Amino acid sequence: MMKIKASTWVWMVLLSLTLATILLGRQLGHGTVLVAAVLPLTLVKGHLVIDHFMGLRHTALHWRALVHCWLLLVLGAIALNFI
Amino acid sequence: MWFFIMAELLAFGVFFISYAFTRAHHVELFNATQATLNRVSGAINTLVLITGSYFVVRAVEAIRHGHGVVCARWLWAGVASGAVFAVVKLFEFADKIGAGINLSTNTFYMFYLSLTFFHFLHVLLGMIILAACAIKAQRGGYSDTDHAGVETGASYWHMVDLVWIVLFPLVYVLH
Repeated sequence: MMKIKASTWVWMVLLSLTLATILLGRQLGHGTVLVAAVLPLTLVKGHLVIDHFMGLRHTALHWRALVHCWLLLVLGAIALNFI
Repeated sequence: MWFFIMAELLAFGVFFISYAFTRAHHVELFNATQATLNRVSGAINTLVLITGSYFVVRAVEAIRHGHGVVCARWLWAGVASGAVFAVVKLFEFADKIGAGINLSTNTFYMFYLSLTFFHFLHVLLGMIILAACAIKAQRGGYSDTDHAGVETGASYWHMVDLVWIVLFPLVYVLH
């Protein structure tokens, strides 16, 4: 039951962060400010999916580290090319 | 399975970085063309995939307690969310094709169409995997101690969700 409650919270946070991303995209125009606002939200969403939905918190550390590193590298490369 | 998921993530990662690198050399073109996309459908699809992922989490939780029928219901809900995603995406593709847009229209559309279609194919495969797990769960093929199939299918579905979580802001929002 605790697991379901935690998953439901994660789901609601993910929905909220998605709505925040959409609003920021409309309000912040374009450029560095938008990138600096949206990519951290994407990073948080990705980490939540990896740890709580994929359940990598409970698997071998190297798989968890690999997927988190993939997310960090991809978002980092995107940031470097957008800013 | 994790080798397969990592290979998929690497392929998408290369695609994403190529998009960002190419955009850096054609900023005006990418910004102008991106404005023609339907952001509402992209946003709806993000909410739909996240919700589908949640349904699949519930399915895994149900089978861990040995509830095969409940697990199957949540998996079918996951399949339904994938179907909603696919229908929205098909309307989006039809709109672009109807406007005469194709892979050679410009560099932005080349990335947009190939990236989103590649992801679309993964959603379809994910739906097939979830449906196969749902049918087996319905027939009592999994138990609280033997349900690796559901967990593997769920991991694939979450990977598809994770990829879209990066794809949506990259292609639809950032400019």
